[in-house]
Amino acid sequence: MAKRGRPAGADSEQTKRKILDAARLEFAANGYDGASVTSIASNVGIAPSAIYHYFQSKEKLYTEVFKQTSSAIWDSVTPAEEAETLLQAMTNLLDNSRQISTDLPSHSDFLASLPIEARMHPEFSDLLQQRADHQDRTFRKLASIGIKSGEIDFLSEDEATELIRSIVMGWFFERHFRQEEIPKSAESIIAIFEHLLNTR
Amino acid sequence: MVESRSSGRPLATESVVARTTFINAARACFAKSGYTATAMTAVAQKAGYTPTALRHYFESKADLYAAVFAATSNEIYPQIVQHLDSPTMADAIEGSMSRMLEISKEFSEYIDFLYRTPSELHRHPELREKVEIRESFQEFFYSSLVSLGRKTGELNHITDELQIMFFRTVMQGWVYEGIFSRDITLTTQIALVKLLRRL
Repeated sequence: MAKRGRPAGADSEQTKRKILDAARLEFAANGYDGASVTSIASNVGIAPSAIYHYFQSKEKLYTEVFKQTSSAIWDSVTPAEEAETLLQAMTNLLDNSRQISTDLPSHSDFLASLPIEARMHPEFSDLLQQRADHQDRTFRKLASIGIKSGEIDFLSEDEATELIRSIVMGWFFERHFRQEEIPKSAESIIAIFEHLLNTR
Repeated sequence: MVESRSSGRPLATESVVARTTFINAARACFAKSGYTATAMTAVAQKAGYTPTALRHYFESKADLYAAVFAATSNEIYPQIVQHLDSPTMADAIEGSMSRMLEISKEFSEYIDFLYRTPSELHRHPELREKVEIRESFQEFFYSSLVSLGRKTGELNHITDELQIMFFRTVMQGWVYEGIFSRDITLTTQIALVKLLRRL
């Protein structure tokens, strides 16, 4: 990356990070097609050509924003997997997710629109796969906790994984799109899930 | 949508054709590129009319979006609602999810458009009032589902409000995560129906 005339080392890393932050906001607000590299540059206070110096193309920029955003989110919900019961693990996961959406709103905005962007832009289908890998690791772990603890004894691990995925991601998307959380929604959803698991 | 017959305006049938052509062209653009990146001129061009003709029917992009939403939901919603008329809540969920999967194949552009809607409403709050039918449809669908479950005895002991929220969360999560991926959607559907059949 160290080309002639460019700031080296720390400065360059700092500029890249500023570009990624501005790009995340721009993609989140306007979508991939509607996002403008020129306005990302002007928000950072650099020339558009500087962005292409670091990221070659809008496509590459989007991919890098995804990688950085996605690791930040999934790395911070991962500790939630360490729990004795499925219901406790889900409670932890929703708590962490809520905290992240509050602290880093543009991360949630960006990630929420990834599935449709990837569908419309086949060059991003690899990102969808990476997203699925992150999710699968977490939700499969939760499912195995539930099966091991005996909380779920009527579903296969695959079925339990998908049910948990729909509950957690449904909560995430509903909360995200409404821009406000229905009070006690996480607690209520877990309470009802517990009730349905225990009723027969 | 009958147009008034002032001089120089197109005849009623022509105007219905033009309107439909605009709506279909706009649906394709909104689904593909999203609200921000869709220009009125691009919609007009795709439809094979002038931008002025498009403005004659739809004063603003927001009005056009509202018309596309209405036409799309009028096609899709009734197909889902018919499954509320099932003997049990488990059957209603199984049937409506199966129908949604078929719809996602038969009407993929409609589903792409609808899939984007919550994102667009989040980005453009001024569109919310244009698509109020979305919220009322969801409220109607999930509350009907829960009252069916209560009638059959599948659900009891908990307040309706919380059950509506639970089933809405799971089914919307299923839509957001799986509607484009058949493997995921089928497995979730089986799991949810198994959960209900135990009750």
